[in-house]
Amino acid sequence: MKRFMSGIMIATSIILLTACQSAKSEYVKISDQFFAMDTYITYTIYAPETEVESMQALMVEANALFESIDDLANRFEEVAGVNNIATVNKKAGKEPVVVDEKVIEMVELAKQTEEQSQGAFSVVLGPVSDVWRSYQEGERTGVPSQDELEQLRPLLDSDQLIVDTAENTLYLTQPDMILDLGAIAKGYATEYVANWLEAQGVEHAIVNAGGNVKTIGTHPVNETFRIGLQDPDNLSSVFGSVQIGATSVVTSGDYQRYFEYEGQRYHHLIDPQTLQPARLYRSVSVVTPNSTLADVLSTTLFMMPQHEGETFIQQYYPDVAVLWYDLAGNISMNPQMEELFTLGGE
Amino acid sequence: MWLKVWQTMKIGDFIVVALTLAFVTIWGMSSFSQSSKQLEAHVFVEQALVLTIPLSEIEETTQYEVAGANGPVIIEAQKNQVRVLQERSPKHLCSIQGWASQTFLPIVCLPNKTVIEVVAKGGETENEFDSVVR
Repeated sequence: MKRFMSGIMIATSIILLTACQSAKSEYVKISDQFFAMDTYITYTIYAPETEVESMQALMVEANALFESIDDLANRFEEVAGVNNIATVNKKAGKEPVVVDEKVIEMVELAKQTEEQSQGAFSVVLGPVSDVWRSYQEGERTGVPSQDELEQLRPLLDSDQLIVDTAENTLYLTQPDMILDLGAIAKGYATEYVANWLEAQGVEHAIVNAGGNVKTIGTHPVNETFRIGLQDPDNLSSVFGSVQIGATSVVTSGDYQRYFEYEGQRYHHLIDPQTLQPARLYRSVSVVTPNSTLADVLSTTLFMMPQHEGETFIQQYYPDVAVLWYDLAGNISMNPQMEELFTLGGE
Repeated sequence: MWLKVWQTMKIGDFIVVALTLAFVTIWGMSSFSQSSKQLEAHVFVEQALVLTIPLSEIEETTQYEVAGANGPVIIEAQKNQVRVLQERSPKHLCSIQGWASQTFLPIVCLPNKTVIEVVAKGGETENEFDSVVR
């Protein structure tokens, strides 16, 4: 009888524990969305019941912060009251431009990655990106010739981008050079805004800026967050997920911005070495705590053959988890990713 | 055996058993209601909710139109799924996305500032992702 009653007590304890876990949902899930940086940004905050209003107000402030970084990184139009990337490009070949420290941080990380990856990443690829964009947006038909692209190569020398950290200036020494922070700014903004939210007291949250997800703290009930990875072959589904704590997940893929010509897909991730859209993978996903770094690394690894990418990661960023989804739909990953990844949707 | 157990139980034992049964019943009912959630599509333009489509109640393919930032956005819905059929945009990415039936992957039409979210009426579904990297 005692054994029977012990069984009953254990079962009761398990059920009570489950009930207690649900009780943690004293956190209220609130969210906000807006458009910036050519993407759809969502915040999800698990707010204590007593702080829902104040945390809703924080999301509005976070939007403004995101937009301010968008303004700084904007290379297409100048913004009143700030020197942004458009200003730097306008002054190319003329004079250095004083910019915000945040811009200097982005450029320094970008230049460091370019050096480490031996040219697989570049922030002065603007002239080539603009040519591809003119085809993508239908201003021109067909695809650019390799000759047309090669003529732009003298403008792609990042040694001609002078960074003065003492004066906070950037200077493109050659006219017609174009600085482009498109492969880093979204990651930087996500990181910056998430850190700001955490500093304001947010303990459990997710900032999702399209291909960039940054988590704050842990999930209030499940401890880890379960983040799905969109399936490049079925955009309405996911092919797997990563189970993470406080970190960031970034994917670079060929399926969000592209055009097709004569049955061939031309996407927006241009290889600085071939000047063509990189054709090694459908997507590369990276998990590492800093979203800026994750953004830069996912783009860089998208350009590199896998064995080179593995060597690069082992040499410079051994803790970073990487997953490669190749053109045939094969998935491979490094040991760090194996600890986080689960195959399958739903 | 069960009769013997029954006969030797005291009042405290009965209370424990009753409590256990009550918890199991409530937990089971909660799990059942989670897995049989009704789906709705919420259509937002410029962050304002402009249309709600009761996906679980649709019997025949139905079309809807909302005014996107770039022009009309034609939406098609069937039982438990929704898609963008037609819109004005340079890349038509949201039309290409196809049918959406999952609560974790909204359809996003950037040039039209239009977002379609599939939501489970009355809360989240059990297998939902916390977020999805696109």
